[in-house]
Amino acid sequence: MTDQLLQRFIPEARDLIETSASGLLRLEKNPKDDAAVNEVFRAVHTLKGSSGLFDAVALTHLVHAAEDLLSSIRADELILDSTLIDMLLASLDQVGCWIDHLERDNCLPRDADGISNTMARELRSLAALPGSAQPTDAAPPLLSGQAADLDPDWLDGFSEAERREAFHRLTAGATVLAVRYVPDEACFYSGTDPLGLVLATPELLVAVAHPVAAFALPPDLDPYRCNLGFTLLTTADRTDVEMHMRYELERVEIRLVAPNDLISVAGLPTDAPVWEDFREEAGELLAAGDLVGLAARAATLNDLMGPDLAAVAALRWLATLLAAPTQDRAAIAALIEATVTGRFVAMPRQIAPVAQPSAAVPSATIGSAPRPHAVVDPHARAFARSILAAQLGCCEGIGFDAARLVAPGRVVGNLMASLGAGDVTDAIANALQSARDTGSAAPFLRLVDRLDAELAEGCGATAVPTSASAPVPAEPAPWHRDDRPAVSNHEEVRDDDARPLTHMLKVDQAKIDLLMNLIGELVVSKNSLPFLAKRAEEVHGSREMSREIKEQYAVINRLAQEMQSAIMHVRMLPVSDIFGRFPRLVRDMARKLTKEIDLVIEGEDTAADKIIIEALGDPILHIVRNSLDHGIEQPSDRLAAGKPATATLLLKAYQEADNVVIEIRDDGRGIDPAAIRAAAVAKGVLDQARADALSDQEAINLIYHPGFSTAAVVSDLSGRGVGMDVVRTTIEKLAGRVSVTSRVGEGTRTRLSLPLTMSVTHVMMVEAAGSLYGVPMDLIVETVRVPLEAIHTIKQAEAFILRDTLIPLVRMSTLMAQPARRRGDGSEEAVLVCRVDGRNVGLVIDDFREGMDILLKPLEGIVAGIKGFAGTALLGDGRVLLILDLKELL
Amino acid sequence: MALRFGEGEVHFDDHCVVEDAMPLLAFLEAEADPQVRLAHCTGMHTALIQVLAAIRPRIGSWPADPGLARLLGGLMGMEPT
Amino acid sequence: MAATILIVDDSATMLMSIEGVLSKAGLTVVKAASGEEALAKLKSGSKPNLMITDLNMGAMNGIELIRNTRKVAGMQFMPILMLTTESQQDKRNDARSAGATGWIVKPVDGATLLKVIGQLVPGK
Repeated sequence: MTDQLLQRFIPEARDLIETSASGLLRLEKNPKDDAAVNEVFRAVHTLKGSSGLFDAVALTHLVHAAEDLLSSIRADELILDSTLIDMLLASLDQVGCWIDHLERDNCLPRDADGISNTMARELRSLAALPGSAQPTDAAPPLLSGQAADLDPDWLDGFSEAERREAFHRLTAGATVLAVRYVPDEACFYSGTDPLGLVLATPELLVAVAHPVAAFALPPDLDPYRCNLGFTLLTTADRTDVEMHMRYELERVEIRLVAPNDLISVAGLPTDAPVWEDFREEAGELLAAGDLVGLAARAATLNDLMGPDLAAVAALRWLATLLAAPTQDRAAIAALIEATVTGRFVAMPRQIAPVAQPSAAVPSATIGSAPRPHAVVDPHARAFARSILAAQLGCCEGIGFDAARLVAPGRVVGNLMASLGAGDVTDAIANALQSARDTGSAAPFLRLVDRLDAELAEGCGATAVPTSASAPVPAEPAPWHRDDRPAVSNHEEVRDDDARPLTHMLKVDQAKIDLLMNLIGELVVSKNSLPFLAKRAEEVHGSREMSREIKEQYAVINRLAQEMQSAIMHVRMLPVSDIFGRFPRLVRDMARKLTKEIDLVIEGEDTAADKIIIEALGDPILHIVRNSLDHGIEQPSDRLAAGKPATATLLLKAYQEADNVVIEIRDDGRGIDPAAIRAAAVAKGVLDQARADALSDQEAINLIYHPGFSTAAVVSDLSGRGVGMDVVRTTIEKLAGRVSVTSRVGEGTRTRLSLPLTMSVTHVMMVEAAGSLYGVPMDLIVETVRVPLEAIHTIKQAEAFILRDTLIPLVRMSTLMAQPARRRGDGSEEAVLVCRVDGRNVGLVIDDFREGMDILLKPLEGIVAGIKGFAGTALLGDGRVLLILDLKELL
Repeated sequence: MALRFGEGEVHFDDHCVVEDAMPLLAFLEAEADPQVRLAHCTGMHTALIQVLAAIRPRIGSWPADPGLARLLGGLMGMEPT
Repeated sequence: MAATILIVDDSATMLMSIEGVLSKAGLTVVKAASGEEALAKLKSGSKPNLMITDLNMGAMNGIELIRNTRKVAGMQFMPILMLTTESQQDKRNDARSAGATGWIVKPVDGATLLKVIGQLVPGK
């Protein structure tokens, strides 16, 4: 049921988000638009309600915060300003991303809780300050990341054995969730039995209860007032837990448990010197990577000491960690430390796990490849410092004893080497030597101090976990800054993945393609009917039969064509699919550029082939960005030029014969042909004389010239460093054309014209006479390599035998009047056997290349008259591929 | 009735429901050193477990369900046997 | 002893379909076609282990029924589920404060319903 509901919810949620967003944009123009406020509020309210049905607590939480804010606005307690609109839009974007995630994975991403908390907190902080437009940057989300972390006291009630069991599950690959449930004290009166619910939790590991307040004594004890809270550990999915507790979700908190959360060292204190020795040895073994040795050493000590000691608890955990499939070195180090201190101070989650113990390496060879300090994980440094401190402690404790300084010296050497901090073996040897010479440990201690200080530089207050392999503790990105909210990351995702999701009718593209192929075959097969008619008349002498076949052919022909055009229309999408994102984009950019822009969209119902629509997004985006960035002036400049302060940007689509036309028009400053000429000359695109000879329109057209990109034309906001030539290439690849007209001071109009539907031709690329050509696949019978000796010359004509049939050979190099450049060792020829006009012909080429789908463009311009080519196609790299017309050639 | 009251002891049988909470509390208060036998108890309402947690009577036998026994033991500061 | 479930809905189809699911699962079903009928049954000593009620019903709606049920002796702690549609989200909180334990979204999925009943009526 959930699945069906979810499928219904997702499109509904997208609609609601869209409604809210467009309402917000309307509100920005006119904050007094009560209808819009109500519309946005209702949409957000409905979204909140529906989302409550699913495993989307974070989503509901955020939408709830947005709803509260809107509610204050509706009640006139809060004035809607651009900051608020920004935040609301960012929240909606976030929700949109989560909806996509829900659709893909049936759940929210892992960081959702954290992001939701941060964003909701900011929304609420604004709602609490009526009328305030305080920049939210002033209150950075200090708690980011911690929101989803597990508070250690959650696990207080669990025994060491229970924690260890959970730890085993975790290291065996399960996820362990901690769930805290504090029921409403009146919950019995609504038929809820929290204990039953808790004990029935799916995949429950262990559950504990604790009184919320001290129990009253009889007669004040009310057994019907729930005074218990529960904490439980489970290996079930979050979804299942939330489903199980769905009526109580408001009273439930769920956290992901990390292995280190489970480790706790508790027990009797001890100050036996054996632990100091153990720490020293264990630290050394760990630094040397000898985990097997370390485990053995810990096991020995464990057997000797009483189980109630905190230090022994640390040993037990040490054994657990060492036996895990992967080892967390920082945690191991912290446990070694805990054998002496009796406290486990968890290193933050963590250094790259070591898959298997590495062999101890002799110190002399360590550090042969020193790495700069910067690459060392700050946690590793922090840990290293603790080892150094321990070594210092040892040395200071024992006073000067040359023999006992050797071991710490080795530890320090290995440690620095393992950190990649460079080879300090010599420095240590020197320090130890001078220690012996002076009869004091001081030189060695100074060295250790210095190393420690060096490490400290790398793990100061600014250091943050950077290890890529560290499990990322949900760290919500800061989401509202002056430049671009974190949502800009999501924008990429939306552009790439999410957009196709929005179409209601989802048909696998492959199914449509199959249909198209079948129709293509039908078209080809029906072409045999005229031959049949001819045979009926000529061979069988039945004129009547021939006529009937021709009549039937006419019918089938028409049907086939209709089918073809129908299937083409199935692939048609409205341009609103791409236009839809521009209101928001233009608004955001205009705000950023402090320009005032009114976006007008026309003809969004105009439809075109899916491929065309999808490919149009980027070029239009590029042109719009150019226009906003460079075309449209600042309001003050516009006023000075006698234009209204608010610029108009028109996005218009319409159909013109078999083409769809997209027009992007602004009333900005226009393109200055003189500037283009100058830039073109400066770039070496053409010389001054030719530049001067260009008409203004020709000069403007230069912006499409590859290699022509000036700051005056290419948008820095697009940030891709591509010029308008890319726009042209993209459009031409789709068999379309681009034109731009502009008048200085009045504006620029860019016109993209593309075919409504696509006809894709499957060709094989061949290399012949040193160039690449395309041969339509349906003409190719097969490809063979023919040994030279198998080629016969009959009356100056070449031929070869293929399966008892004589195939005449034609050399491409001869056809093209170019020298052949044969590949391989020259002992054979590459032959493309083609069927042309009912007979097979072998075309000798230089080499075969891959097959590909192309959009055939007829020959135009100066090459229009050349015989032998069916047309051209633009390759992905911008080169032009000539498609051979074999009928004409042979 | 899932609670069986005997001489100084109460037996929990099967699943014991919320309505049993008041009689249980009355019994535990009336007895000087009441004993609670849970060997046949398969489950109990939250109201019952919190009465036990508040009064802390002697537990003569523990529930067979390890999850329930563990939770009750933790709540009463006792080790289930 | 099999658990007894009281179903309240003014739609005969709904009553039948839920009854089908529940009796197939071995539960005893008592039906009521209105809030008034349900209340009368409860007052005359019927003691179901759980009640399922629709939200929108003629004179007495589901929320009123729940509120009234909680006033009947012995009915304070009975789990009550309310049938809602997706568009009646906001009614859930009302239902909760009137004393409902949870809700079931229509169209009712048999497996989900049985799972919820299993949770709310332990030991049966």
